Amino acid sequence: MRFGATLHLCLSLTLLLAVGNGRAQNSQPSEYQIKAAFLFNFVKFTEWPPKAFADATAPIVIGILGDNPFGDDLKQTIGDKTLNNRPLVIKEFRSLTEAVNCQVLFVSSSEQNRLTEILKSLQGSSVLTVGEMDHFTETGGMINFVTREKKIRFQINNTEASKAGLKISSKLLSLAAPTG
Amino acid sequence: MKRFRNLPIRRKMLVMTLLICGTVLCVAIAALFVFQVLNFRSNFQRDAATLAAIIANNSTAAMAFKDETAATEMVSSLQARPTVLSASLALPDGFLFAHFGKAENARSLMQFPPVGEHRFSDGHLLLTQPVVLKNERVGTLYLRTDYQRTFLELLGFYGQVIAGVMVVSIGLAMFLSSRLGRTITGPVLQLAQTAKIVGEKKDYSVRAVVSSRGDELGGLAESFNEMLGRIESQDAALSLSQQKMEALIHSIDGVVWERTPDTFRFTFISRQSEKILGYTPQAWLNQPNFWEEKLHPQDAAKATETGHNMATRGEPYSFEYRMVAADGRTVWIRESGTVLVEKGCPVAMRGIFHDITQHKLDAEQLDKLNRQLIDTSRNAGMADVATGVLHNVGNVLNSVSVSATLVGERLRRSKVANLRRATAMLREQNGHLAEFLTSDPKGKLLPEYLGSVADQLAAEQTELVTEVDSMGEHIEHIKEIVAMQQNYAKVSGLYENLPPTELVEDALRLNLTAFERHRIELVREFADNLPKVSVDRHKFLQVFINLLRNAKHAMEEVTERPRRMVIRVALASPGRVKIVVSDNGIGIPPENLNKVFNHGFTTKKDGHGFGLHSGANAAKEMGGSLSARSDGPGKGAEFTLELPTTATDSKHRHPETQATA
Repeated sequence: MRFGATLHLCLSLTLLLAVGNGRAQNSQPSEYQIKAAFLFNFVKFTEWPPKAFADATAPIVIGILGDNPFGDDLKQTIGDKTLNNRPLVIKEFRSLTEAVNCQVLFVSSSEQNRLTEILKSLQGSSVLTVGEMDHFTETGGMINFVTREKKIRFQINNTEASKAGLKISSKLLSLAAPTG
Repeated sequence: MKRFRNLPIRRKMLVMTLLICGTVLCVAIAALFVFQVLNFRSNFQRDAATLAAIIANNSTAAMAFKDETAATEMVSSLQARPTVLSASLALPDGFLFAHFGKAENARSLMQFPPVGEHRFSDGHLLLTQPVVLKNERVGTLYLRTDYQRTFLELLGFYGQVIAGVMVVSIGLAMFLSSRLGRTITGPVLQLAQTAKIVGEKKDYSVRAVVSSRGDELGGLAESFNEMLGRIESQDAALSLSQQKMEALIHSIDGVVWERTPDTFRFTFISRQSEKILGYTPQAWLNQPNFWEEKLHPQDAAKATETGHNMATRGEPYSFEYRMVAADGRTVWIRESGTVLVEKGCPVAMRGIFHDITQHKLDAEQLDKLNRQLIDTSRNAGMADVATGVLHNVGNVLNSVSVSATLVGERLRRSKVANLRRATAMLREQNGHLAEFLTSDPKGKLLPEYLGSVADQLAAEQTELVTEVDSMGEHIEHIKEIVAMQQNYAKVSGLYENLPPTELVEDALRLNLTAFERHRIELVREFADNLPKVSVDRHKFLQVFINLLRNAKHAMEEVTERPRRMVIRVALASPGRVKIVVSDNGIGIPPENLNKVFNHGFTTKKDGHGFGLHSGANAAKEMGGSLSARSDGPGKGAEFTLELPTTATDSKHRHPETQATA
């Protein structure tokens, strides 16, 4: 019994040390690693209307419009995970017309100038728009990455999301930073 | 249990009610309590699990986005739950991400159960709840709640409630019990009260209140009343018969009493005690040694001893003693009693005191009179004897004087003178005596003459010697008579064992001359080998001489036939000798035969009618008897004196003056 307790203690101490090490290694994840994880989490807290998918097993497509700032980070984060029996697929779009056939559209900063146009073209479709630029949500974007006190946060324009038929979980909404 | 048994019935019912009520309550409360505890435990655990699930669910976003602020906010919402001691959120890699309350450390985290389970430890409920987002575990919630405190709080609350319930229900039970119990205890107490009154005041006229009909208590009260009624009538009958009894007891001419056989303490004494001795019954009953103290000092020791002896003997008894009455009189009491014996032990003595003072006085008077009579009779007897003696002595003296005259005459006419003449003749012839005797004619006759003188003198001497002898005999007779008289006079009251024939001869000797004078033929018929009789010589003589005198008198008038007296001495029966004096005198008429022994009866002119009466008494005193028989006037009479022989028990002769039980 005593031996068991001691073993347990040693084990947990080793574990703790390992965790600490792990943490120390990942203590400085890059900005886009975090944003990739966030992006994946956004998917988890959002519900799409059924018409947004071709069928029950149709994949959830995360599209990137413009320059890809994630590099391989997003791919690594998602891996081959599925969500609600749907596989996750990452697509990089060059043209605006392609960009309609996705569930999440990350609008790269390179597309800031034609943002209004992009958002306008997405009207009527159930696409969750995510950006990382000023006035993204004011312009009609749904989720916008911001940095507050050196921490990556996000803003949500739930009105736009509702217009698109998307339901963003209140849990996610409660984490959102105030707009403006 | 004994204390309970002695409680008053009302208290008993209360205690019973409370005990029943308390027991039922305790059992119910215990069952409820166990159920509540079990219920509380599962409820508490379920609540905690629910809480953990909610928190975990709500923390998914904060965990997913590693938003510390949001996560801390989330767990801090548990503040509203006072039972929650701590809540910690850990990232999948084990990093403690956010916490509320006391911070857990690695060591305390080890107490927690595996993920999804709960554990009770040290009064805490520990829950490990996974935080899962879309099938992916994004963290772990460690929730620590204070089970014990809540449980103790609950216990305290329950305690208060139980105490309250107990108080209220016991109060209710007491109230109901006293209200409902009154229908049972009320009649019982009333009955008890009635019984108490009856017991204390001996008043059987009271009745118990019958408060209900048909039930047992009502029946009991009715039966009780019925019983009282019966007792009352019995009591009345009893007191009536007691009054009768008492009247009877108090009307008895004597003191009825009851006393203890050991201490002689009187437990009952009738009112006659006041009349006879002047002491109230109360005085007898109250004072322990009353009887002993009031005994006459001379009788006290003996009476006490006798009384106690009688008590131990346990038989009916009677004895006499004197007591001193209240006014100082001496009262003779005859105590007759019986001893009550139970299981071999004397338990009480009951009897009667009779006042026999008057009897005693009468007896004393009678005794005195008797003694006087006896003295008189003795004197009379003595006079008789003396007369007899003098008579005999006189008679004998006559003979003596005749003999003396005869001797004197003989001596005067003695032949001694002839001898003197012959001797003078011889003296004249002094010197030639031989010549005278041979030659003188006178001288020649002298030797023959002297021879005849000598013969005459010898004859004379013989005659005188005979006469003197006779005279000596007579004198001896006188001496005998006098000595006998002295002898009888001396031995009065003394019992001796003597041969009966000798006694008879003695008496006859005194009367022989009288019989001769009256020409009475005396016939002796004495049996041989008779046993000695035990008699008072004097009394015997008195009786027997009286009988001889009576016989002599009876024959004085008989002239036509020879007077004949027969004295017969024989054995009457074993132990008794009879002496019969039978004469052929005038006899006794049948009508007088019964009266001859009566005091004052006589047929003689100079008689005092006492001789036979005192003779019969004397015979009785000696343990014998005197009886008379006659065939009628002119046919003689026969008197029989019976006397006990020596072998007979002496007690017949000495009538007891002591108590005879």
